[in-house]
Amino acid sequence: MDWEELYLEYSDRVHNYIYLMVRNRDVAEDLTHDTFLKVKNSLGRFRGEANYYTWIISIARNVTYDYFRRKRLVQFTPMLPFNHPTDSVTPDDILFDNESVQELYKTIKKLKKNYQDVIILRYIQEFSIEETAAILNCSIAKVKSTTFRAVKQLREELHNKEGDYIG
Amino acid sequence: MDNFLKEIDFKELRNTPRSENQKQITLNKIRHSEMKPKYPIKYLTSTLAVLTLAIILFLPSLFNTMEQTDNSLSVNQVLELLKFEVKIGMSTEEVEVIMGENYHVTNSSYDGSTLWQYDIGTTKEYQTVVDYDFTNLEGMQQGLIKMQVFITWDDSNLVKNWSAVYLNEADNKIYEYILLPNGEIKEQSILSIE
Repeated sequence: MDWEELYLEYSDRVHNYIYLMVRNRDVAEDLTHDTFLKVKNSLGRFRGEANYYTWIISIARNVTYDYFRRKRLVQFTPMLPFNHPTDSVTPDDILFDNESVQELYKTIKKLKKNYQDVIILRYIQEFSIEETAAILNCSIAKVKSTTFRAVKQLREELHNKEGDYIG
Repeated sequence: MDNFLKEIDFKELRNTPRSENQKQITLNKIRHSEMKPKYPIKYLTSTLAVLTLAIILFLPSLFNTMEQTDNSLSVNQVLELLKFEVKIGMSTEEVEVIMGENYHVTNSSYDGSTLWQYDIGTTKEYQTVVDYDFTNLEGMQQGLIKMQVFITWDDSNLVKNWSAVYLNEADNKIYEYILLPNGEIKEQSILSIE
């Protein structure tokens, strides 16, 4: 496959994966662009150890974490005038019309980053345990234990919420 | 556990709407993009000369006017990062991604737990003090530092809790903001500066 075929086949799913991580449609589009630019430039070095999609998601994950690091570096800018801290947060760009889906998404985003990783990869992106381990560059045992804890935490968070929207 | 997963409808989260138009725009951008090219060697000599000149001319004045040291995050930004990003159970790597690597390792005066100490908003005169988890209130009163953050690690090197002590210049009071191991948040004024 050439990179354009890969783009047409997988870019929507890559965009979805990145969106779930960054919560912003425009940023997700930019990072999808960066991901496939890397795919375009490194396709010749693809060794076929994983399938194309697993490989592309690994790149997308690295691109996304680079974005988080850059974001942090931007925040380490010269001292701003002091204001008393507020509770303001950057509003999420909510793409989900269904309220219960939004709630599920918000609950997932409340989890620790490594829990979010496995929930998104295993249950939303539907990667196998082996593929998830390859993407996260960790052992299968680690994926299993992290997934177990993540699901447990997700269940607790959902059950703590008012109104049961499951099912 | 399996029943719980069956009850959750993850598939709706697989479909974030993305227009065909946007998809095509991005495809065209990639078609016409290249990775950042290596800097043409023909410009290297002249660029180095300009940079050297700029350093000779401006570096001394930069040092004279610079009041803040390298750790120049605002108190607001740090508190926002802590409140919304640093969660109990996070790994050291995750915290480094969020908070940076400019920390000092110390220990809890209470139970000996390992702590990371971040000094925020320090002036160039500030001398780092690492003394268990005791806040440098004196430095804050003297205006040498605006905030100290302590992140406590459990035996598995995961975040147990964190605390931030900071100077609020609006009312000249020092506040303490603590995330307790049970997830409870405590915020209180601990000192007024005369």
